[in-house]
Amino acid sequence: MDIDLLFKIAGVGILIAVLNQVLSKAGREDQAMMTTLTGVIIVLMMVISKISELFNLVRDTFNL
Amino acid sequence: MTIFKVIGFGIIAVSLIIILKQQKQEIALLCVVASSVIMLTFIFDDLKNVISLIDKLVIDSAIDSSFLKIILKVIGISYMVEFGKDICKDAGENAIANKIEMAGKVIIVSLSIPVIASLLDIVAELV
Repeated sequence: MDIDLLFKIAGVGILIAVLNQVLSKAGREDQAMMTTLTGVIIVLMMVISKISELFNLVRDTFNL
Repeated sequence: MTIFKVIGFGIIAVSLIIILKQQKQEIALLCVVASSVIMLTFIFDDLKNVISLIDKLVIDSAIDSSFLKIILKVIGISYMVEFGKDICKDAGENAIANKIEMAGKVIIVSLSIPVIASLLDIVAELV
């Protein structure tokens, strides 16, 4: 079902948050920023494929 | 029943989003987008049944079916505009939400020009 996509996104988000804490405590602020960016990009990829799927569905049903 | 799926999905999504909101607002927003997209796909099979029923009714009756196409397009556009507008409002960007809404209104008016034209013809005939 689609619930696992939601758990994947939440997992990536929590992982990124933890990584950020670890990296910022270790004094590497720039790498913390990089991990945030990579996390957001990964989640964005997942969400964009879902959004295009929804838009195609809308295009078919309402023949827009 | 799909309604239980939608409610259950919404509650789970909200709880996950609250967890994400403290640490990472941007990923929480993406989680909002993903869950609203998935919840919309739940209702689309019911929506298809409604639309096919409307098609049958219009074909049986003498109404001009081109108006129905325009009505369906307007409904679809308004759904998507509301979808985008709510997400932008959630993120706190009211300016962008209003721009999406304004664009939606303009597109809907431009789509309904033939309907307005035919209405004016009918009124002219009456006078």
